[in-house]
Amino acid sequence: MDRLRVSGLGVGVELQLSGSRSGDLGGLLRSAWARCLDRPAELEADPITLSLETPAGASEPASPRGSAQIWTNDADSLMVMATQAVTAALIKAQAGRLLMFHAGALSHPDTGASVVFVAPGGTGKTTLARRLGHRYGYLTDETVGIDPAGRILPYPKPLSLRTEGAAYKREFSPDDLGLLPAHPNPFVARIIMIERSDLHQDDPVVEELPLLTAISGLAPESSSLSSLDRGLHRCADLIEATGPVLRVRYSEADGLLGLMSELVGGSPGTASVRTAEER
Amino acid sequence: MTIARVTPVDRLTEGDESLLLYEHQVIRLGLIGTVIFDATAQPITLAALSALLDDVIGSPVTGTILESTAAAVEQLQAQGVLRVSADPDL
Repeated sequence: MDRLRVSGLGVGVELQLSGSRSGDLGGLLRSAWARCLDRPAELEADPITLSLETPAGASEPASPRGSAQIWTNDADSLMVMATQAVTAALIKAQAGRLLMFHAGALSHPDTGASVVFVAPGGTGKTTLARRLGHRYGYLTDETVGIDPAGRILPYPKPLSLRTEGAAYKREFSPDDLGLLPAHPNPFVARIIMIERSDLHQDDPVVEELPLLTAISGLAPESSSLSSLDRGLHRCADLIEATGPVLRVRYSEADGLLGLMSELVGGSPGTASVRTAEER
Repeated sequence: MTIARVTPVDRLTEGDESLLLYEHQVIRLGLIGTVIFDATAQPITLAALSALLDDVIGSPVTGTILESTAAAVEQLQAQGVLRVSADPDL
């Protein structure tokens, strides 16, 4: 059985690859998860078994939620399910330890000062990470874990992108997309709540949120907040240390470069972004 | 009828407002909700709670203080912040 170990949020998880196509699968995973391979981790999650073969008599595909065994004959689909399963395992392992938000994060490559952008799934986190990640270091596009000192535990996972003509989203390595690596010691400089809308025509609108309004808005996008010791106070302490949470309404991700520069400083990053279609 | 609060996992207060963290939700309380929450650490009757609200906040513009207190209690009960019992020894 082929194995590889990925880590994020300070948690490692072993991926056990079974079946006759495990070699092919291992190649795909090692490429997509390149930035998460063999990183140090303080905690270890239960292993996840992946296969590109459906076992005899089993339904196809297997659901990733709550399952440590995932199989399907479609490689793109399996890669997406693997990402979901790894993310769930990492979050579960850090429940009660880290403040965790459904968010992306980008860091200044020289200082580690980072902007955490919180939003529900499917509302712009991946696009923002992909578009601005050629100027700022890519920390994650999915889940941001923050320790009591305000340090971010990176989770530079593959990015799930929809490509033309494909039935499923595909997983792309941040390396293949030209995203800058993150600073080794990233920390929260500011939290923003993003609201992307095609109807928003003008420059981004930025609004400071009062403390309780901010926490009320962040709470639904948190994971295991009630498992933390004094979870509301952890949120409040972080906000008081980093400044008011900003609500940002915008239409185009590139329009937030100016805000990023204001919050964490301009970036010398010059790598170009290639869209999935351009690859 | 007695009224008592459901203990949250965490509570954050700022000015006259509060946030309550329960296992699966966060509830935001304004002034009236915060006063009621503070007054229901121990079981209390609706009449006693109404009298307390009358002292702290004053009478409502419309209706009686008892009616407005009952409405607020009902709302907080629906949100899972309060328990209401017919048992006076709740």
